Amino acid sequence: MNQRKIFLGILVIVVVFYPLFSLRVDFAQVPTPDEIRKKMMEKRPAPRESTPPTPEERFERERRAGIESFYAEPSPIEYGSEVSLKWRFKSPTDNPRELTTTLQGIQMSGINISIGPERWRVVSRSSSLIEPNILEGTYTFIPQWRGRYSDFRLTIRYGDRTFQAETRGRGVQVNCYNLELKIETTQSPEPKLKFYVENKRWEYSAPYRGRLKVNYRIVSTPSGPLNKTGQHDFGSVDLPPGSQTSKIEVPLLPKEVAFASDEILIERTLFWMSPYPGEGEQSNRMSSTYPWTQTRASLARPIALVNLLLGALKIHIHNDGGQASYVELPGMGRRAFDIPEMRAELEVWGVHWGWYRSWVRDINNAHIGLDAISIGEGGIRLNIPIEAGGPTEIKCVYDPLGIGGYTDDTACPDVDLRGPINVKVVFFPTLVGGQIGYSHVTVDVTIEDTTFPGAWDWFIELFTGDLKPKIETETEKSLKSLLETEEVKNAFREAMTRLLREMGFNITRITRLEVSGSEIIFWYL
Amino acid sequence: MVKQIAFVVIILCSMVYTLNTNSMAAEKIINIPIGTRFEKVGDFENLKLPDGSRIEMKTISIYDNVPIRDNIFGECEIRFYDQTGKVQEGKGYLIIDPAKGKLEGKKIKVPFDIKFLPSR
Repeated sequence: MNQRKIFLGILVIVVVFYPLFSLRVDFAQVPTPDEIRKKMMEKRPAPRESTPPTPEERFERERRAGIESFYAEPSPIEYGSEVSLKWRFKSPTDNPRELTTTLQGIQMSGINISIGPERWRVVSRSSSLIEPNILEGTYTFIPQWRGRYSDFRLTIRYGDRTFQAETRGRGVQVNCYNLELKIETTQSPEPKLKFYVENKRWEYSAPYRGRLKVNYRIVSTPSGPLNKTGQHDFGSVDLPPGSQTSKIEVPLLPKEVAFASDEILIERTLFWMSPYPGEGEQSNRMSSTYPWTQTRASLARPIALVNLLLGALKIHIHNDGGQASYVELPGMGRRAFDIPEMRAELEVWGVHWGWYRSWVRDINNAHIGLDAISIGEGGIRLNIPIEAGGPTEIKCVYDPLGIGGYTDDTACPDVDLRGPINVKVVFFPTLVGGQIGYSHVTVDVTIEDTTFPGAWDWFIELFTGDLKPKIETETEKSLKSLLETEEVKNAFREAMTRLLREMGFNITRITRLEVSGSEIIFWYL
Repeated sequence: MVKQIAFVVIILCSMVYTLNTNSMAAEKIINIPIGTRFEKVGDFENLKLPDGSRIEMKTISIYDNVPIRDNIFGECEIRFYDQTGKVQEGKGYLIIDPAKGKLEGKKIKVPFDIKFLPSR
């Protein structure tokens, strides 16, 4: 009895616990198709002796035939690396090699039919029969594109049946470096350029490992004296995405040469080594202009021009006793001129009797003060004060013969100019060689007051219509002639340059200027 | 006493005579405006004056090319006929006033006065 109980107990234990111990708990991941393929390759049974399937088996096979998997592996890859498209096909026949397999236009039979929208380089292609009706294939290639491509299509034709599959989300992503040659310009204190190469981040970033080299040419544009060429070899670098090389500096000296034009043209070529087999050294040539940043400034009252130049201006209108009038800038020029005398014939009872002659004398400019300079009327305005004190300015004599010699000084009254004589000069500024000069001047001389107490009516009338416009016109002509000489223009430019320097401007070249209201606005480098 | 009275009477009569006979010179100033035209008759330059009198001028001499000092530019012989036709002879001086001249182009035309000094 006991033995029976023991036996039964053992039997129960065996019956109950055996299945429990025989259970296998596996938390491993689901094998990938490749692992499955390897495992199946390992367990590939010896080809069975082909026994013709029964009609029922054939029908069932054909019903279950199809592409079981189709994917790219590995992904992502770096540009220049290989990737494989893999598929597994359950054939409706035991002899799947009769099939025509097309991978996006490339027949696996080895005939290259067409090139699709992307390019690649085939490394290998193979297919193998895993089981009598299972065909596995691998198409290994090196993509020549960057980014993601998922639209691989597999078409297998058998008889009148067509089997199709797409990789869809299991395509390949090709990451690639994104090299960019960057330029930084620096203007102050000295103009220079900095070159460096950055591996820019983008959607499909990848590091760059290899040699980098830069050739450059920097020239003035559209023309100018700057012409600098050079190259720099960064050597072999390792640039993770987002990183950059060290910066190379190219000084552009002297700055008068660099700033000779408003823009510079930089032609540069970046050389790098492509990891794609056969591509070798690659280059990218770029050309672009870089405008210098111009500083804007304004000038309201260039009063220093008075001390530096214009304060020395002299106007002397005096055509008496054979002397000549003149305008002068000491050291720069002098323009002597004559104001023809006013002459009127005296006629009495229809008989010529003699001549009244009149001329100008002793008109001089007064001290030109700082307030003489202002901006207005489209330029730099200089109001030259004229003193009309001292002796009478308009001399009158009677000359019976009209040839000089004896004259009657008491025969007619002299005239004293009392009112203002306005001499206004406007210098119209322009750029000359990067400095503020002027293109021309306008001179306006006006004798304002012609109501001379004690003067005869006909004399005033004659003066207003004759001598006065002569004084104004001749002085204007001479002053304009003097101020438009190259000597004075050069001196003006130098004075303006010195003025701006003394005002604290660090100017290499002025690029543009305009007169706006009571200011000169200018831009400079 | 009688002698004294007679002397005064003689003096008075002489004065009345002198005045009545124009025997004492009476200076006249005749203004000649610019543009006045004289009528030439023989050796005379005749001019009717607005008050009805008239003058005849003869042997006019102009001080040509001489200083304008004193503003006298010539002289002439004059016969002066008053409104009643009574004639006086004398000398005329031509005097200009340049301040009153008028400008015509580059010529100054000047009015002048004739200063008539009758002869005795």
